[in-house]
Amino acid sequence: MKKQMKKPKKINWPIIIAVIIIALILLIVISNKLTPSDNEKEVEKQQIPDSEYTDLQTSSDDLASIDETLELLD
Amino acid sequence: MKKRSIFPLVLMLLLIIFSISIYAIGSSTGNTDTTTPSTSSSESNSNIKSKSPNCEVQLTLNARIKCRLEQRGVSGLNITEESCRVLVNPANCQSLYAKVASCYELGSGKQKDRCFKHIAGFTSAKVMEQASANNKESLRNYLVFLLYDLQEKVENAYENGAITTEQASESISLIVQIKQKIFQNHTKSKIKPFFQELKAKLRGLNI
Repeated sequence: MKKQMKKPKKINWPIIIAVIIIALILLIVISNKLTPSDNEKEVEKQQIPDSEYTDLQTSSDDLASIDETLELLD
Repeated sequence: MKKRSIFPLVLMLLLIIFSISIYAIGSSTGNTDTTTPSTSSSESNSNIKSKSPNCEVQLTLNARIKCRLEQRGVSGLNITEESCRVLVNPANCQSLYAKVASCYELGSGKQKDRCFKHIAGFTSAKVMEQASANNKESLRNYLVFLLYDLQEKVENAYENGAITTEQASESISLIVQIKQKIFQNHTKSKIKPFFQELKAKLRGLNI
């Protein structure tokens, strides 16, 4: 009886390439979601306490802030 | 045989297209800043549409504002268009107003100030630090936002019957003139006389 030759398994390259590409795309998408965007970085940077800000309750508060800011212009 | 080798390729292409579309959708919704101007700019567009020709024939700014106040009240003032019309590129000015519009809905005065400074482009809370950093454009934007806040207070006083149409239109037209000068990069020496006049007017009105 002839010994049956084992046929080498054919590698399905298109599927392997597709899986690699999809994995790369998913990696890019996930990393993009995990790393903060420029806007988020800006918000993080602006963790300044409320006490630093002016309480713009009345028109006098607005006028005082305008006065102060106007002085700083050229 | 041929059919078997084409199928994975088609599947691969479909998956790539699908993944790219998900990525594109994800990145477009991530930018929160773009949503605010679009909604607010539609508001400013509706303001422009509601412009009445009767008030537009008035020659002076004060007369136009008074006419609008009498005809449609504070909601029909169309101040955004009025402040930006003197500029070569009014679209930038209108988009700045659209960006800051949501800040005026904040309840606390400090939150409002934080919001103004953020939109104006401040890197810290203090105006002095912006001046030291030569961040003049941020200072000018912040001034415009403060003047708009002041204008809202005048409008509220008018709606509550605390001031007359004449008093409201005079104060608002002064505010608009100062805003126009700020947008036109006038020096503080040119802006100050108008601001002093506005201060005196508001003091007299007890707003």
